[in-house]
Order: sequence, then C-alpha cells, then structure tokens
Amino acid sequence: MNKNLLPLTAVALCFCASQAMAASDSATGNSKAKIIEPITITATTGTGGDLNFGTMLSSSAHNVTVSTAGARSSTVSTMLVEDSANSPHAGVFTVNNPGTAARTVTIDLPSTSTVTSGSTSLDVDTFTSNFPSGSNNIPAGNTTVNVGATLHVTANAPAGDYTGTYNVTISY
Amino acid sequence: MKNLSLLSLTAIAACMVANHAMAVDSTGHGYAKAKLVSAVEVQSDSSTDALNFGTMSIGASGVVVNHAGQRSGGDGYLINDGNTPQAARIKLAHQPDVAGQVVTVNQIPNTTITDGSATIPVTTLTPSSTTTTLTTATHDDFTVGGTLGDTTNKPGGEYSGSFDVTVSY
Repeated sequence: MNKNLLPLTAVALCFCASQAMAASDSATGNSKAKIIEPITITATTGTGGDLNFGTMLSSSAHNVTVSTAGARSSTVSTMLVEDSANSPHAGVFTVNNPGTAARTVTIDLPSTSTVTSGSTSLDVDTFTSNFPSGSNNIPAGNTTVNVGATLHVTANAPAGDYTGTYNVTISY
Repeated sequence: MKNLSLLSLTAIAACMVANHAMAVDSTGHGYAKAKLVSAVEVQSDSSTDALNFGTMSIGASGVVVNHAGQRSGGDGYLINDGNTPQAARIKLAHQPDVAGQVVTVNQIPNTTITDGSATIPVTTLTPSSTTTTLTTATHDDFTVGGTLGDTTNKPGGEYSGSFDVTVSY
C-alpha cells in the first residue's frame, strides 16, 4: 500500500509546478506628448494698423520711410504733404501667445512688396520691426509688433491712392 | 542587429518631429498704402494781382492796404486817382484730387519796393487767411495786404517790388 502512495505525490508536485509557469507579471510604461498651443500673428487693419506712408507729391523721385514709431521722412522733404486725413502710420500686428509661459519666436519680414494704383506700382522695401532679428521672447498674451518700411516714389508717378499687402511671419 | 536597426529608426523619427516643431509658422497679412497727390502751385500775375498802395505824395507814412484792398493811414498824403489800391491776389492752382487738403500760408517776409536806387520798406504782409482748404475748383485764392514804410525824402516815381509767399500742405 505504501508503495502505491509515492507515485501519486509526485504527480501532485508536478501539477503545482505547471501552475507556477502560467503566472503573469506587468510593469507600467510611460508615454508622453508635448502639445503646444499655436502662436498666431494678426494684422491690425484700418487707420490704426495699416502701414501708411501718408500723402506726398511725386514731382521728383524720392524715398519715403516710415519708422516703427510711425515717424515719416523723405529723401526730398519738400515732397511730403501734411494731410491730417491721411496721417503716416507704422504697420501694427498682434502676436498672440495663448499659453501661460513666454515662448521664443523669430519674426520674418518681407524683403520687398509693392503698392499699386491702376497700372502703376511703387516698390516698398527695407521693412523693419520693433523686434530685433533672431529669436525673441514673447510673453503670454498679446504682444504688439510695429512694422516700418521705405516706399520708393518714382518721378511723376500718377496721383492716386496706392495700396498693397505684405506678409509678416513668425516661426516657433 | 535587428534591435539596433530599430533603435536607429526611432532616433531618426524623433529628429524629424523635432525639426517639424521648429518650423511652425504663422503669417499675418498687413496692408500698406500711400497717397500721391498733384502739386499745388502758388501763382500771382504781376500785372493784375499786385499789392498796390495807390498814389500818394512824398511824406506819406504807414500807408496800409488791408487784405480786402482798403487803404488807410498816410493822413493828408493820400491821392485818389485812377491808380486804385488793391490787395495782392495769390492763386493756389491745383488739381481736383487735392480737394480737402488744408494749405497753410507761411509767414510772409518783409520786402521793399524800389525805383532806381530809392527803396521803401513794405512790412506786415498779411494773408486774408493763414489756412485754405482746397476745393474741387482748379484754383483757390487768397489775398495779401501790407504796410508801406515812410516815404519822406524819397524821390517821386513808380516803385515796384515783389514778395515771396510760401505755402505748406
């Protein structure tokens, strides 16, 4: 009788061992993503935001510069007309940083643009902004960017209202 | 080797993501404008538009012709003849595109009228208005009066001269 009992015990042990091999384990992995809120730049349009070179004569060729502060000058000052209904003005843009922390952006200004009236185009170049070239820290919320440029008036360009557009791009 | 390859690929993918993040742009479209206008010309015809103090006898002093052309002063020395006193007429000739433009008359400097070597000062040259709002007409005018200095001891004769009018706009 005792002899028969021994083999049964061995079978039971083997069964237990098989149960241990089916156990599982787990570890917690980490995953992450950084989602940044988009920074936008928007032009302010109208008299309070358009880059306006004001009113001038074209009896002789001259270059009109509007600074980022909105101050106007010309290489031939007598060509400038003081016109309270059409005052010179720097271009105004609003950079919106919707986050809570300052972000770094670069501002890219166009190299050239034009304003046109009918079939006549005048060149605009030497764009400047009140932000230095290269990286700039933009705080959370809205930041105003002023843009100046130089208009090249050709001699005897026809009188008229000249308009055009230009793009200011921020990269981040 | 298989595992190594997978690692390299992962690194490349991470770099691409990083580069893409640096290139996020936002563009604002601004407007630029300028207004070109035709020039305003200041004109005056010396034969018809001159400031004329009229005729007076030697010794007249402080003869005034106002911007309406009325003569005063020079009591006892003024002579009314066919040489009628008048204010100068200044014409601002322009194109209709400058209508609404405000033109300012700068201070007019003193001058003299002469006959031979004799000179008489003309002072207080005063425009009828220091500002003129241009209309759609081809010209807008204003007048200028002045004061003639002392003619005592001056030789008789026809005295003439000119003065400069500068406007800003």
